This record gives sequence, C-alpha cells and structure tokens, in this order.
Amino acid sequence: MARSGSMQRVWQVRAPRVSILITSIASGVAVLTALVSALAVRAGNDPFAYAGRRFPAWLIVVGLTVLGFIVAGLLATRTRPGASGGLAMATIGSLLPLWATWSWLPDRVEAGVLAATPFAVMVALVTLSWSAPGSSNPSPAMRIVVALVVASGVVHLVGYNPFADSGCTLTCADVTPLLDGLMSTRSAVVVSSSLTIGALLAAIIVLKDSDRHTPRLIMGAVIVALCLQVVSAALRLANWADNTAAGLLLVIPAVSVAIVGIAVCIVVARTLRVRMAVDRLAARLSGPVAALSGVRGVHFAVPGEARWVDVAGRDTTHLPGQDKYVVLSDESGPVLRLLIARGTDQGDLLAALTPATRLALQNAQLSAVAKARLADVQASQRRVVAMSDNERRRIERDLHDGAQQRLVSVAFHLKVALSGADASTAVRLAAAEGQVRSALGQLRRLAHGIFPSVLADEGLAAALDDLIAASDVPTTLDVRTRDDVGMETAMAAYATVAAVLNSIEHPAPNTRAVILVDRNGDTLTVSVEAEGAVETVVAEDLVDVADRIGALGGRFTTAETATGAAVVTAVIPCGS
Amino acid sequence: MRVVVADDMMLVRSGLVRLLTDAGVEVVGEAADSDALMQLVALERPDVATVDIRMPPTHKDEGLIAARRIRERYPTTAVVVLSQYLEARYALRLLADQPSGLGYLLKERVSDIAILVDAMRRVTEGECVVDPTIVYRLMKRRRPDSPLSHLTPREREILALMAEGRSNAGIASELVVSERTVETVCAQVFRKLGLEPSPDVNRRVLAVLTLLRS
Repeated sequence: MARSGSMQRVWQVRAPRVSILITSIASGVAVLTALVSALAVRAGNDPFAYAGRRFPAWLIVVGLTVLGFIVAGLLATRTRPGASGGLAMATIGSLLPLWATWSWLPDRVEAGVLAATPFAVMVALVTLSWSAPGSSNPSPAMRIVVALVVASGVVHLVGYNPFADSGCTLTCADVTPLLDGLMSTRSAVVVSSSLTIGALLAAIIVLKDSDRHTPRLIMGAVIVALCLQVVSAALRLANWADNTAAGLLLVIPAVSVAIVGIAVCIVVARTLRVRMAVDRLAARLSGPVAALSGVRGVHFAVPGEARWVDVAGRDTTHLPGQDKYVVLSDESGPVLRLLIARGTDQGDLLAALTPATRLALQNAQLSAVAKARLADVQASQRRVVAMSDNERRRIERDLHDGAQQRLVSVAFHLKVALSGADASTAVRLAAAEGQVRSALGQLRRLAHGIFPSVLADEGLAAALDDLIAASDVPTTLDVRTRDDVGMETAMAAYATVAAVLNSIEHPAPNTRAVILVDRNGDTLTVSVEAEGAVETVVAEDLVDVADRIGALGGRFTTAETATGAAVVTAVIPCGS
Repeated sequence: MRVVVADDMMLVRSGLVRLLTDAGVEVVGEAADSDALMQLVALERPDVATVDIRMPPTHKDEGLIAARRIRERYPTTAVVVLSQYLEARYALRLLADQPSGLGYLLKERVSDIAILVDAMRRVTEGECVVDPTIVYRLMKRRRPDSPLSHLTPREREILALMAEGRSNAGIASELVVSERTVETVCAQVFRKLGLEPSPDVNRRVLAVLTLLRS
C-alpha cells in the first residue's frame, strides 16, 4: 500500500542469515588481522616500523573503522542485508594493505594483496551505495557509476606489476604480473584512474538528479571516496619512485571506504530510528499519538470523502506542507498519511514499514473511520433532536402567547357579557365560559407537554420540581448539582424523569419514586427508582428518551433491584 | 381601591378593565408594556398594579421584574401578577425575597373576578396570595428534610388555604370549624415551621414562603 509521489517502493526483506555469515567472515578477518599484527609486533617485527616510519594514527583509524563496520554490519543485518555485505567488503578492503607490509608472507600473496586492494575498495563502494535505502532500483546513470567503478578495480587488479610498484619493490621479488608485457602498472593506474574519473562524473550527475535526502548522502560520500582514489592515483603517478609517499598512500583506501561506510551507517541508523518510531506509533494508536522522533503523527483517510481524521476520529485541522507527510495508499485510494518530522527521509520511512506495522496502521484506519462515522451520525442525531426541541419551543410560545391569551380574553368577555345578560342567556354564557376555562386548562397542559418552558427559564432543578409536583406519583427528588449542564443535557435529564413518571399511569397506593440527579465530572447522572410499579415501567416507553440520550453520547439503562423496584439510569455528558 | 392594569394584549386588557370596573374597582390606567407600566405607577401611585407575566419585548418574565421593581420603588403599591404558568418556580421567584404585598394568580382564574378583587384587597393589606392550583401542586411535593413533612394533614390543609390568601375566618368557613380552632392550628404550623411570634400577617407570609421554598 506504500505510495509516495508517483513512485512505489516495496522493500523485500531477505533472509538475514547470509548477511550474518558475511559479517561474521569480515569480523573473522578483522580479528585475525589484529591477532597477527599483535603477534608480529611482539616478535619485534612491527609492520608499522616498515621503512623506518610509524603510522599510529593509521592504526587507530583502521581499528576504529573496522570496529564500527562490524557493529554497524551486525545492526544492518536487521534492516539492510546489502549493507552488511558492503560493510564486510569495506572492512576487508581497508585491512588488505596491512597484509602487504609483512615480509614473512610469500611474495605472491603480498603482491596479490596490493593488487586486490583497489578492487576490494571499489567493490565495497559499489556494494555500500547499492545497499542504501531506496537504491534497489537504480537510475541508468547510477548503473554507469557502478560499472565504471568495478571496471576501474578490475583493471588495477589485472594490470598490476609488483616490480613497477614502489610499495612492492622490496618484497615482491619473484612475482610476475598477470598482464606482463601487455600493460605496465603505471598504465594500469592511469586507465584505472580514468575509469574512476568517469565514475566520479557519472556520480555527480546522479547526485544532481537525485531529489531525495538518503541517496544524496550516500552519493556524496561515494563522490568523496572516488575523489580520494583519483587523488591517490595522481600522487602515485607524480611520485612513482618515492617509497615514503607509497607508504602514506596505503591509508587512502581505508579512509575512502570509511567515508562511504559512515554514510551508510548514518542512513541505516536513521532507518532503524524511523522503524522504531513507526512501531511505537502503531503500538500507541489506541491512545493519543505522542510526538515521536521521525513520525509526528498519523492522519487517516475517510473512504469516499476528501477529509482526514485523527486516531480518535476527529477531523484534522492541521494541514502540513506537501513535503511534510507521506501518503500510503491501496487500490481504493489513500489510506493514511504519516506526518514526518524535520530531517526524516520519506524513503527511510517507507523502508521502515514492516508488514505488521502496515496491518496495525490499516486497522487503526478502520477504527478511526468507524469513530468518525459514528461521530457524524451522533452529530446529525443531535441536530435532529435540537431542531425538534427548537420547534417545540416555538409552538409552546405560540400557544401561550397566541391561543391561550385569546381564550383568556374570550373568558373575560363572556364574563362581561354574563353580567348584563338575562337569566336564560346567562346560563348559556356560563356554560360557554366553563368550556373556555377547561379548554384553557387543556391548552396549558398541552403547551407544557410540548416544551417545559420552566426548564429553559429556570433550570433543571426547578423543572424537575414542577414535574414531580404535577405527577400523581409520590416522589422524592434529590438534585445534588446546581451547575448549568447545558440545555441539551438538561432536556435529556428532564425527558428521562418525565418518561418514567408518565409511564406510571395508574399509581398503586404503594407506588413511590426516588429521583437522584448528580454531576460527576463531565457527566450528569440521573437515576429514577420506581417502586411498586415495575410492570408499568417498560423499555418501549423509554425508547425516545434512550434515543435522545444516545444522540448526546450518553448511556441509558434500565434494571430491577432485588426488592422489585425498577431503576432507570441515564448518564449524560454535560454540554457547554 | 385604585388599580392599574398592564397586559400587552388589548383584548385581555380591555376585558379585565371591564370586569374590574363592573366589580366596582376604580381602574386609573392601562399599560401595554413594563416601561409604560412604570410611568403609570409613578404618576398615579395606585393601590394595586395588575401585571401580566409575559410582556414585550421577550415575552418571558418582564412582569416579574416589573412587579419587584414596583415593590422596591413604590412600597404603597401592591402587585398581583397574572400568569399562564402553573410552575411554582415563577411564583417563588416573584415572592422569594419579600413576599408581602404580592400576589401570583393564574390568568384564567381572574374571569371569576371576585377572586381577583379579593386577592387585590389582601395584597394591599400586606399579605401574599398564591393561586390555589399552584398551592395544591406545592403541597403534593415530597422532599427529604422538608419542614412541611412534619405537618399533619389538617395543618397542611390550613397552610394551603393560608397560601391562597384566605383569612382565618375564611379558612374557618371553608373547613366548617370554629375560627378559634383555625387560630390554634395556625399557631402549630408556625411553630413547626420555626417561625418566631411576630405580627400575624408577617408570619402568614413567611409560612407561605416556607411552602414555596420547600
């Protein structure tokens, strides 16, 4: 489901066993080198005393590089199997020149070591840059770089003449070069350097075209390493017969490999960090997404709608710039977007997504979308309830201010007429007045049933007070909060009590009700316990109330106590 | 008895004025909203103002506000609020602080003009009058720790009649008992409600207030 821009990258995780093997071999070589060096130094045959010169700094550089490569190689086996191979090759490449200084080795081996060093370095460079995240599908220019670098190493390997090499003249007594007579070492160095320069130019083109952070870092390191190789060759050609310079130049392969190796290590470490961040993100998706290194958060796409929601299903208002997030898609469209921290590479992020993480993120999307849809439905339900309440309130006002007032005035005028009427008319007028009066009573009950104005004007406690005053059921009311809980909440609480009291149509002598209203944090709890009227309190009568409470995101439950009393409990979130 | 009438609906107002005039009450002015009412009261200083609870501009409780303002500024003018609300809460709001000289009646009851005239007379005497329907609803309420819960049925009955603005004589004739019996029961009610001896009118008002607040 990974998609970033127009490119789709899926990193196939290879069996890490091969890389562990390669790293182990490289580690073995490194340890062997260190042991042999130690033994030689102990026996008084100090290789660094060669030709009267000491290079303790070289020893430290090589030692630290080797150690770093081994550790990084072992780490890299987790995320980048190619990286461990490259690192192993780099280790060996940087160690090879050491072996060239031991006079007790057969001449052929010493010459071979010197001949193979540039080759090993070139292969290490190629493998390392190849192993960088996002480079499994290299551009043509990158392929040229790789080919030229390898060709350069091969030319040096086959064209090497130990007798022409100032570094080997003292030791390589009886070795014949592979291409003896065809090419001198000097020509081989020239050809190899030309190829390296070609590779360098191609690498610069790759760097120029690359728009992504990770390949740029690796390519930059490769270019620096290739430059060092060219400089090294140029120095050799300039001081061909000088043994002093030849000894110094043995450091350069190690340094150039180290530069690329360090770049790869940085990238691998970053990938690891991002992967850990993504894993932690996936693990924490059930809770609030904390700020994580590499990933700042995640937004989920709502299918079929052009909007994004967060983990809790809330609409996201924060819209980062185009380069600040990675969109992951599947065939149906975008699934989610990961908001990335400054300095995090999109390729790293995608490479860090394991199948398990993707599954977790997809699950989180499903749940976030479900939450968002639920919130939509609830909001629409709320609007419907609020609209109906407003309409009821309007009708109640109209009844009070219109119809009721007119009826009152009719009653007054009937009364006026009555005073001046003769006996028979008076009887009829009095009957009419009685009718008007009973109509007024009915109208008032009707208006009150439509909307309790006292709830809006005086608050929940007063409204409940009047509600139980109007009921035939002896009721105990205990309102423990005087807070303003918001009109919608108060209306729902009122409706709960009204529904229960109204459902008791014919109270028995032992019928009692106890109402308790209390606020607990952000919720209002209304409990109505009706005793001696269990059979009349049925859930069907309370469906409207349950709907109203559900629309506010509250809970509505009915239960029965051990004594047979019905208990209706509503837990309603408080509004503003 | 000089009376002013305030009601935003002309038909109601004229009907009321006519009824009052027929009953021998002198109506000295009419007002359609609370501003006009305040001016009228300032000018005429009537004995009683009859005020509709809902008046412009919001049609909610302008009448209550006007009633309290009149009682504050012109203590010689008593007020009867006519309401279409059965809820005791509005009556309580009107009477909560200083109930004497105030009445709260349901509007349609007024078509029996004798009740209104009687209520007007009582409020000018410093009593307070609450509509019987509302008193009945108040008496039905049961609250934990209410002082009313200690009253016997007979005592409650007499308290209710007291709240309706009846005199001891009126209560006695209603219940067909002697006035002396009523006085005894009244004293018991006052004692149970924790009301210290003071002029009778005051204690009656306080007892009604206790009922409203219970």
